[in-house]
Amino acid sequence: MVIRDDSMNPQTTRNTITRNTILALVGLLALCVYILACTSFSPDDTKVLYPAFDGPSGAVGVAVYDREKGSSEMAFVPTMIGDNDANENTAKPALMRPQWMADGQRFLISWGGDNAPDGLTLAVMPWNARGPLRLFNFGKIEEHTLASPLCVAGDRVFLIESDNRILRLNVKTGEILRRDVGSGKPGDSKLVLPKTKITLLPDPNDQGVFYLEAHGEGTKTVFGRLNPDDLALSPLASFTNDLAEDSFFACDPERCAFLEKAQPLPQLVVLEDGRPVFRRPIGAKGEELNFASAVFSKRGDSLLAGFRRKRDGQPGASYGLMEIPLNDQPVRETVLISTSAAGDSGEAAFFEFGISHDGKTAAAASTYLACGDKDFKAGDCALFFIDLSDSNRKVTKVPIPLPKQRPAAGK
Amino acid sequence: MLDFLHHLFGAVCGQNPDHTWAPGGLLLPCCQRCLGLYAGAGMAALLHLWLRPPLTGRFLQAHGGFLLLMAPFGFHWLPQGPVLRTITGLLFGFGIFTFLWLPMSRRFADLASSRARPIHPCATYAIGLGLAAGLVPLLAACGGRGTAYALSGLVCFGLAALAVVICGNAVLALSGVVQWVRRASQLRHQQ
Repeated sequence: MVIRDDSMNPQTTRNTITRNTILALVGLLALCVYILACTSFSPDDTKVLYPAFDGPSGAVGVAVYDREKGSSEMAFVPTMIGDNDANENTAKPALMRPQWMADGQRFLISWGGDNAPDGLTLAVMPWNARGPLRLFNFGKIEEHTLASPLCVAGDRVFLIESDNRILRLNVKTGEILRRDVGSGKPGDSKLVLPKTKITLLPDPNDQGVFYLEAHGEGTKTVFGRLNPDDLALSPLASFTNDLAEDSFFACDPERCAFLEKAQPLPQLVVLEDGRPVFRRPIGAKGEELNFASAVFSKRGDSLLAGFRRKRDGQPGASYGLMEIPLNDQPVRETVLISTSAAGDSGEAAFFEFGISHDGKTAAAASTYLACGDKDFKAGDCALFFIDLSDSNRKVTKVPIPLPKQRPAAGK
Repeated sequence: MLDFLHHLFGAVCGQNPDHTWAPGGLLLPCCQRCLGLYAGAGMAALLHLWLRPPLTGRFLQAHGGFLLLMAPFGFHWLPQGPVLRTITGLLFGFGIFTFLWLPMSRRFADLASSRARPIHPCATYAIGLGLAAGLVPLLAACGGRGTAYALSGLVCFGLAALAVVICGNAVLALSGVVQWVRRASQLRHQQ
C-alpha cells in the first residue's frame, strides 16, 4: 500500500508547495550563513604582518598592514636594555619574526638573544580580540633563525631545544612537553643515530610539522612528519644529495624539493615517495644566487622563492621572487630591488615571501635588508605585494619609512 | 586525494587545524563542525531516500530546531568541545538537507510510489540519526587512517548531496516560473 503525504485537494497542494518552497529557502539561507561564518573565522588574507620601524624610537617592531584600508599600524615594539648598552643613550633594538596563528585572531612573535645569546622569547598577542599578551622566555633554543617561520599546529609551538631535544609549548596553557629524539629504545625504528641534526619545518598548509634529520655531509638525510601529539618521527623519504648553501628545502605532505650542490650549476631536485621525479639546473654562470625559504604554489606546478642575485662585476645585488615551474617552462623572475643592495649572501634568507591562502598574492618586506646595509636606498625599503594571478605580475609597493639611525641586523 | 579535498573544502570551510579531527594522523579536509554538517547531510540523504519519512508536523519542527540549535553553538555563546561541535554540525546537516529536500520530495514520492514505505519510518530515521550522531565523532576521535579516508568520502558524499538538492530546487524553481509565464500568457490570450 502506498501512502501519500498530502491530500489531492488543489488548495492544500498549493499550500504545501508554498510551505516547502519557504522552508527550502530558509534551509538555503541557513547554509549560506553557516558557510560565510565558518570561513570568516580563518585568516582571511586581509591583514599582513611585517617587520617595520617604529617612528618615535626607530626600533624594529611588528606592524599590521590592512590591505582593504591600505593602512599600517604598529602592533608590537619590544626594546631590550642590556649590560653592554651602559654607554649608549638608546636601547638595543630586537629583530623579530611575526606570524599569524591559525585562528587569525592572534599572532606569534619570536626574537632571540635578549641577554642570553641562545635565548628565545615568544609573544602571543591578540589582534582585534580580547585576551592577554602572553610571553615565554627560553634560556636556550639551539635551532632558531628569523629566516624561517616557527612550526605551529593549533596552539602548540615546536622548537629544537638542544642536542636533538624537541620541545612543544602550548601557548594557551603553558604546558611543555620535551622529547629527546636520540633516546629511543634499541630496535626502535624512530631511534636517531648519534651526531644527527634535526631541523623542524612548518607545513605550508598549517596542518602539522615536518622534520629533516641530517647525519652529515655525504650521508643519508631523512625527511618526515612529526606527530604533534607524541612528538614521534615518521620518515617519509630519504636522500643522500648534498644541499646547496643559502638555498631552500620546500615540502608538502606528498613531496619535497631542494637545491643540490652540483657543477657547474646547482640542481633543483623534486622527490615524491622518496624518488626523484624532476630535476633542473638553476641559475647561470658568473652569478651568485641565494634563496630564502621556498614553497610550492597552490596549484602545485611551481616553486616560489625569494632570491638574491649578484652578478660578477656588478656593485650590488638584486632581490625578488623566483617562480620555478616543475616542468621545462622557463623560470620567471619578478625583480623588486635592482642592484642597489650590498648585503652578503646570508641576507637572502631575510627576503622571504609569504603566500596568501588563495595563492594569488605573494608578499615580502625588505626591512631587515635595510638593517644590514647602511647604503640601502630608502626607496627600496617597502612591503611588496605581487599579484600572482596577473599575467604581468603587478607589483604593489607600500613604503616602510626608515628611521634616522638604522638598527644593526643581529640574530 | 586528501590534498585535493583540502583545496575543495577550503572554499566552504575555515579549516582551522585546531578544530579539525585527525584520525590516524591524517587531517580531515574540513573542521569538526563542517564534518558534522556534511556527514549529517549525507546520512540524511540516504535515510530520506530509503525511508521516505512523512515530512509534516513534528518531523519538520524537530529539524527546524536543529537549525536553530546552530545559533548558540555556531556563534560560540555556549562552551563546547570537539564532540559537541561535530554533533551540532551533524544535526544542522540533517536540518539543512531535510528543508532543501522538501520541494523535491513530492516529485520523488511520485517516482517511488511503486515501492512500499518501510514500517515505522520516523522511528527508524531517528535511530539512524542517533547512530550517526554517536558514530561520526567516535570514529573521528578513535579511528585510524582508513577511517580518515572513509569520513572524507562521507563528507564528499554529503557535499554532493547538498549540491544535488540545491540544483534540483533551482530546476524546479525554473520550471515553476516557466509554467507560470505560460499560464499567464494563455490567460491573456483567452481574455
